Amino acid sequence: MSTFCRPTTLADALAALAEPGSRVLAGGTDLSGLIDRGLASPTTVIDVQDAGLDRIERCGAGVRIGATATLATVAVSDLLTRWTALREAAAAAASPLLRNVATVGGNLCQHTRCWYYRGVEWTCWLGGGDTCFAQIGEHERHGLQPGDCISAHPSDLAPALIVSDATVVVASATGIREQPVAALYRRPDVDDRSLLTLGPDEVITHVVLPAPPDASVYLREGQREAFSFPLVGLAVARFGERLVMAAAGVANIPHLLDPDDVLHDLPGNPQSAWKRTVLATLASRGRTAVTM
Amino acid sequence: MSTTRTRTPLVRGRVGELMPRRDAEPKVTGAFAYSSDLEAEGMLFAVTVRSPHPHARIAAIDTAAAVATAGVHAVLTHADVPGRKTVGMHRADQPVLVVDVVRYQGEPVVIVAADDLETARRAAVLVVVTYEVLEPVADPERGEVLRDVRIRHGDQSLGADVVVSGSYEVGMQDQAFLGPESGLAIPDGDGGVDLHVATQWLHLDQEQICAALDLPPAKVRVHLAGVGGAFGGREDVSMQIHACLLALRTGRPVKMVYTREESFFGHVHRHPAWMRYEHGATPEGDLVYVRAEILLDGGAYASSSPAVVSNAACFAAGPYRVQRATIDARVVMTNNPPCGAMRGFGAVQVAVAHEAQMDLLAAALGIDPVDLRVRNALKTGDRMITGQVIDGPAPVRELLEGLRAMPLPLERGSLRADLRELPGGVANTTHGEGVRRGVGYAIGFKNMGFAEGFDDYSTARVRVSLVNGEPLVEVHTAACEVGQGLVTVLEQIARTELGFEHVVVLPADTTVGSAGSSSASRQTWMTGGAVKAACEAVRERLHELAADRSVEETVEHHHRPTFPLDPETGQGDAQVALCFAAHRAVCDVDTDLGLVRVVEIATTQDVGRIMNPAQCEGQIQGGIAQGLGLALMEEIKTENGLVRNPNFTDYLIPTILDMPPVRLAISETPHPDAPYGLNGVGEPPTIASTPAIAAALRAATGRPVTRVPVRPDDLI
Ligand SMILES: Cc1cc2nc3c(=O)[nH]c(=O)nc-3n(C[C@H](O)[C@H](O)[C@H](O)COP(=O)(O)OP(=O)(O)OC[C@H]3O[C@@H](n4cnc5c(N)ncnc54)[C@H](O)[C@@H]3O)c2cc1C
Ligand code: SF4
Repeated sequence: MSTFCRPTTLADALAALAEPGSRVLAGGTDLSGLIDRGLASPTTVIDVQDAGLDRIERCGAGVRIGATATLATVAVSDLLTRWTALREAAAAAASPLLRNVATVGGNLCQHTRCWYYRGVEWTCWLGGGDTCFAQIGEHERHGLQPGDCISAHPSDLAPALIVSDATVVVASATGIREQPVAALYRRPDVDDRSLLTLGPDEVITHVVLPAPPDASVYLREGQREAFSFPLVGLAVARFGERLVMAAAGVANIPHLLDPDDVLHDLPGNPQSAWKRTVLATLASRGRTAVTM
Repeated sequence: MSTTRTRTPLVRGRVGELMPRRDAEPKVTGAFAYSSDLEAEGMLFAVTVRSPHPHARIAAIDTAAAVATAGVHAVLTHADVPGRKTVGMHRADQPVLVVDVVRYQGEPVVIVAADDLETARRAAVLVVVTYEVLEPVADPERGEVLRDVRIRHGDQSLGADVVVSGSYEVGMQDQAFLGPESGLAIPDGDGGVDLHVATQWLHLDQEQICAALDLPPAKVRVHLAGVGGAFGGREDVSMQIHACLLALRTGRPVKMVYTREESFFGHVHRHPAWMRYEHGATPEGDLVYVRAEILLDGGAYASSSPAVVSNAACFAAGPYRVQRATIDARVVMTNNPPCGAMRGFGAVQVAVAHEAQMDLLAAALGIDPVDLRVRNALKTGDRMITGQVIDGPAPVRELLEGLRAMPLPLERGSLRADLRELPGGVANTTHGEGVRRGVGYAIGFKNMGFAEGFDDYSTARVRVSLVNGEPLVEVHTAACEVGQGLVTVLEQIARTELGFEHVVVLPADTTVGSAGSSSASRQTWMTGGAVKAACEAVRERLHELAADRSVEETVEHHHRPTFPLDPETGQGDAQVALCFAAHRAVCDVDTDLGLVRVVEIATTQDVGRIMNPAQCEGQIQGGIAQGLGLALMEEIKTENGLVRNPNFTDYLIPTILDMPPVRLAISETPHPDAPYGLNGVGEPPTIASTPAIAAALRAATGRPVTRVPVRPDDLI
């Protein structure tokens, strides 16, 4: 059984988080599901939604987004009009109901949707077991990178933030650090199966956007018109001549692409190789969209 | 194709009028009480302990810790079932609670009732079931045959000049209804129980509860609670017996509501199908023969599989005249989720195959696919492949011609398109690049009512009394309003027959005779017929009506008899009546990304008589949405007996954005056997809409598309 607290200052939240076994809760749209399925069993759940982290504000030439700002506010924020890819990604994720509660920090930290991982019947490699059931089972919607875990990263926001050169501010009781969004993620290995670089006592407080790109777009293939996870989500941004591309749905973490060779490193797994065509097509259409 | 209508300006809300349904507003505003919203003083909450294994032998069940939990009032196993330990629609082969062997994942083993839901859940976790895990039979080819239906029609040696063949597959679809299984059982303090439940057939529930509880029918009263959709998934019992058992054991009302995930394990699904077809025709395009081998996976228990496989066989050739049919359809039992009734009932699966075959044949012959269908269209007086002569309406040709004559949606303009109208929608996947349009036609048919000799009937009690000098009509039946709008139609019928404004349809329960199931597109015909007949009987006696004297009649309405199929040849007059609908799908496909935008579905359907235009259209629109779901996304995925996607995150159903505008033309060819000439409406829209979309996708991409649901990777 876990206890619940809702601190009203960041300092209190960080102090609570310093206790082993505690876990940050924001909108709860992902964490509640993980707890239900026994995939997370925190002793203390620390709801950070009252910790004053929900503002979106100007910050130099860019914008600073509080980690508990909802996807719905990001999608319509006047301050973010020049970050098209980000707004489009936020508007495309999940459903209106979920977007009203799901937060930016939670979205970046959500766990894989791989149904073997989420299913109570399987304890797969990522969950600490020995077998990647997707590789011996069905993986047509999985990633394009071979490896121990071929899951497909689910966050729409992550690629959009990565191509915007965004950073995350991470705080713990012992201090604050700032790092590129991409550095939030790590490829899991035998000794450490986590997909995030965050320590258990750390919380994302903000996402910081530097000056906006000259143009950006988020292209997303889903299984239906709304309310489905991205099969492939591709963010493309252009800063002057520089093109940046990053994708969800192709590797177990957000994947930075080489705009001149988008399929590099992504040979595909037997059933998911079709996504290569999708990625290449989206990349070429995305390039057109930001250079038109 | 029209009927004459009596026009009487006096009373509004008669048959044929657009009368708004009474449940519409409460449903839209959230005020409607579904079966999961019921409460009673002092009620307990119940949960189910389910097997995580699809196949296992239970070595031991230890309930001690759960029983010892504070707030827990009962923890029951199969040993606590006082009567028959099994249930089932066609055969009682499914344990009320697992006795020794688990046959599918999620099968109920133990039930727990406690003061509140959380306590019940926690206690359920404390139940220790020791399983000896067995290897599941997951491959239907290895399943035990439950029933096979052979049809040998015509001269079996007939061959043909032009032959096409193909293999087709249909995934396992879920009814995906809005309201999970739920109900409230209230003990009467005298050994009996009242169950309020969302179901499709009150008396069948009652019969099965009585058998399991070892109680006479008078002790078990079943009342219909608010139903959030059914589509066949509520024909088998789910929590009915469990809630009653717990209520009688504890002496307290017991509420049981499945979670969404449980719901996926709580009801039967549409049978997945594997079909091999061969069609032979003359060079001119006359169908000579249809050969088909059809395999349906019935999963762990019989449910209504024997009837579904019969339907699959009877309608295997589609609504076409064929000289020879050689059909071998079988349904097998495995350790996969049980499958049974779902809207379209066997006709859906075979339509995917027979319509694809008709297109293949048209291509092989160089004939327009609609022309080929028209050329071979069944009509009144023709024989079906079961040998049955169709004596009712069979407007196949008219539906196809009507459909073809309907205008096509506009081509996409050269102007920058509205993203919302393109495949991928607002997700920026295309502004028109890679997009190709395809058009596909399909037609399907199935039976109204139950088949093969089942004596199907419904009962209605109609009573007229004077209240403050004004006549009040009360209509009482056990027919389940499952969202189709039955209550409104019954009200319209009573008003039409008796001419009185004030009609009340009483809540459905088992204190009146059986109405049969709200399935097989039968309820308006059967219960509508019973209400009509009861009203007529009352009308004869209206002169007796006085301030202190009401007039009441109870009437059973049977349809004409049907007969079993010959087990060797599959020949027999098995069907009551046939319903038909044709669909044309226009789809835009992004051929680089495999994304589909269904631009429009056009449909022609003959309904015999439009009882209420809005409800009729509602059935057609909803049925098409379900057909679209099967075509493009809906599939329960199993792996070695385990369900991988028992939730609405991974089991996708169409949203309103996926649903195109429907262009519809409803015709009314009166059915001579039916009240008001009406015919079944609910199922035909789900039959041909799926193959029409598949055909449009083939036309757009040139890909074979032999399996539904079609995935993006099937199209690039
Ligand atoms: C049905 C469904 C469909 C969805 N579809 C999509 C989709 O299409 N695209 C998409 O991108 N997402 C989708 N999502 C995911 C959804 O966007 C995330 O669940 C949501 O953004 C998580 O935010 P939350 O605030 O609810 O996080 P929570 O559930 O509260 O937390 C999620 C995780 O993040 C951690 N966390 C939360 N905030 C912080 C923080 N500030 N610092 C450190 N760790 C933190 C929590 O500990 C937890 O591990 C879907 C979710 C559901 C349930
Ligand atoms: S893809 Fe990753 S999460 Fe999925 S089964 Fe394999 S290891 Fe587990």
